[in-house]
Amino acid sequence: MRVVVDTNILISGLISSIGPPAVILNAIRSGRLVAVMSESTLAELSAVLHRSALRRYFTKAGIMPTAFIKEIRTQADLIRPATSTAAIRDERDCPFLDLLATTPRPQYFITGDADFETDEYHGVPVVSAAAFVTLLRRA
Amino acid sequence: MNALRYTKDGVLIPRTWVKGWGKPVSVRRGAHMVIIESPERKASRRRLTQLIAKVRRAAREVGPLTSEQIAAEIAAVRKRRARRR
Repeated sequence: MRVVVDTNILISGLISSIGPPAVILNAIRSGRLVAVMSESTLAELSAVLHRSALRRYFTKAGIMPTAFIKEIRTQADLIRPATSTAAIRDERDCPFLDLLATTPRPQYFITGDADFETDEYHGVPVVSAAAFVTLLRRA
Repeated sequence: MNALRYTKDGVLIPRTWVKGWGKPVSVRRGAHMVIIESPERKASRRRLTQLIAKVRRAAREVGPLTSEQIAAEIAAVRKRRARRR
């Protein structure tokens, strides 16, 4: 299943082994889910992981954030996104909307960001991590 | 052969679909699917599993961030990116 996963879900899943974000990251790791990403969303993930609040975990673990990014890049479906014309409250979220406008469409957009106000964009349902995990368990 | 073909004994995958994977491929059957992938991708999956475990262990020791703190970190990155445009 190809899905777009917001940065907040990936980070939450990375730093905790419990809860829906962890289930989602585990599913990406196992190959059950394929994360649809662009250079822009991957760069955002990298930039957040390099901030001191997150970097301290990598320092403690004795690894570099770039090592994680490298493996995520290998596992993800890295695409050249379309340009979305959908309206959104915060323009800074546009790289994710662009992914949703790309053909073939991802099946879901998983996010905890309230700025994505509608139930779907470009026909792609917007779901919370908890709701998606419920769907995943039924599949 | 250009299309995937199902037979009673297995699935035939067009050669073009797996072009660039190299000759040996890894086949793994999970609870919900069968994954066919290159050895490189399989190795990456293993490395990713180890990396995630290490970071989660470190986060347990250091103390995890709340979802609000994570959102603030992401917002800071997005704000900086917007300023650069």
